[in-house]
Amino acid sequence: MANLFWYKTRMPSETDESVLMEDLRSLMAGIFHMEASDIGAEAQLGELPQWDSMAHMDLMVALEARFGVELTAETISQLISLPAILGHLHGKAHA
Amino acid sequence: MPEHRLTPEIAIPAHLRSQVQAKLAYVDENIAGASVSEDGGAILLQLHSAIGKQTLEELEARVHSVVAEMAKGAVEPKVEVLEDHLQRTVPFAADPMPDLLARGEVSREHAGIYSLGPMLTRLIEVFETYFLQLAAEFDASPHRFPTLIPAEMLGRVNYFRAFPHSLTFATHLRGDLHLINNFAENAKYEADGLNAPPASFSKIQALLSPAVCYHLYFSLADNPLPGGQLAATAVGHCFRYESSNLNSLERMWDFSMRELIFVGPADFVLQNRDRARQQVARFLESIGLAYKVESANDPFFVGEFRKQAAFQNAFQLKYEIRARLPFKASLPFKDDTLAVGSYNYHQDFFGRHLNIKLPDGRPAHTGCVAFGLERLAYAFVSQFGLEPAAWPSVIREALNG
Repeated sequence: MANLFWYKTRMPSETDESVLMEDLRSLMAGIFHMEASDIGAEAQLGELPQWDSMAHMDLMVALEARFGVELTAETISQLISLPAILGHLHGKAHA
Repeated sequence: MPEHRLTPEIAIPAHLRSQVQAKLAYVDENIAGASVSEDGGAILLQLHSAIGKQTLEELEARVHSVVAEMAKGAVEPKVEVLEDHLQRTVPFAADPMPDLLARGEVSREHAGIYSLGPMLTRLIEVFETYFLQLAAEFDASPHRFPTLIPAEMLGRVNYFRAFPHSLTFATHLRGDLHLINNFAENAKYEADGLNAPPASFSKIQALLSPAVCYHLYFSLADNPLPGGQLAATAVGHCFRYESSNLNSLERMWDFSMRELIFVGPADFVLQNRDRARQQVARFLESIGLAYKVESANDPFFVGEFRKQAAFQNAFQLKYEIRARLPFKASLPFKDDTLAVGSYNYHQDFFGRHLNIKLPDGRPAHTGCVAFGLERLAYAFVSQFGLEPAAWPSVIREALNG
């Protein structure tokens, strides 16, 4: 029930993957100080110049606030690419 | 010394107790010392002198804000212990500091500023001989670095944001004849420092260096990395102001550090860091030191602490060699281990910020193995005492050789 509650209250109303992708890109663009359109679908920590350690933690805190992602050593070390974050949010929504 | 007890608005988790305690020294100049109870539910402050109600309320508000900023939403660290030899039997259990002071082996010049006598100096030379042998096994080139470090370069690596509390600034009198003459005629030390007006001093261009390896990274800045990878070693004085936490040889304002530094691709840095750890483990075993190696984080200041410590822990970037201080086992609220060295991996942080490039154009990765020489000597005499005849044979032989 807790996960369902989260799904209904914290996720965007459209759960379509592309909408979620755009939502994430927009969030990241604000943190990385760049255009969302410049963030590739495979963007990852260390590869995108703006996505460094500090920006990564800013992103993690934003994911916690926006999507209720629990901040743990595991999520911080695993959510290091756009696909990984998308996969985690999908897993959370469908758990 | 007056004491003041307060209850934090949120309980301080066990993993943050010592870190919050250390930061409380920087909250207010009225604080002479602070301790956090074992359950994290109480803070005991020692004050330099009695203070008024309003000042006390302001001080309490600051303490609450520090606790909230560090503890609220704190990410519980993943503790990884790579080596655990803490329970090795060692022959000594008393606090060595009174005897070290009485024998003149340690002289306190000022809070956090100590000079060492011949026994500790020779002991450190033995450790240094080993560290130089270790460096040679990695073909590490020797370097000598200055004590001063440019403010401009520290700014480039965000040091001011991460560790503002521990900075030590270097300054000089401004180039003004009247001002210099006035200083020469009137300067004297008063109860809490020189009486010269702050306006006499120049703007800060340099600081006293907080770490050895930074100098190597700065020397490599804005250039391709020669040969694509390198190992280097250097010893130098480091300066980290720790306010009222400065006590004995455990926390010194001015201390010396030997570093073995790796710069290159990630694999090169990580493999060498691990290989160095295994070599050091054999050395520590040969001298019988009681210690453990476990994951750790740097002492980031309050505002940066939560995020930076969590990142360091999540990616297991730092491990500390923590030696047991047997005399502390029975003291309340005290950690009975002391960090005497560390194994660090910075990923490509310095490569990015200082534009150090690998041959393929990507930023270089860096890492270092660092030993606090005075702390290592202090931990050693805490476990083996002050009589060299009772020290492990490997050390005795090195001293006599």
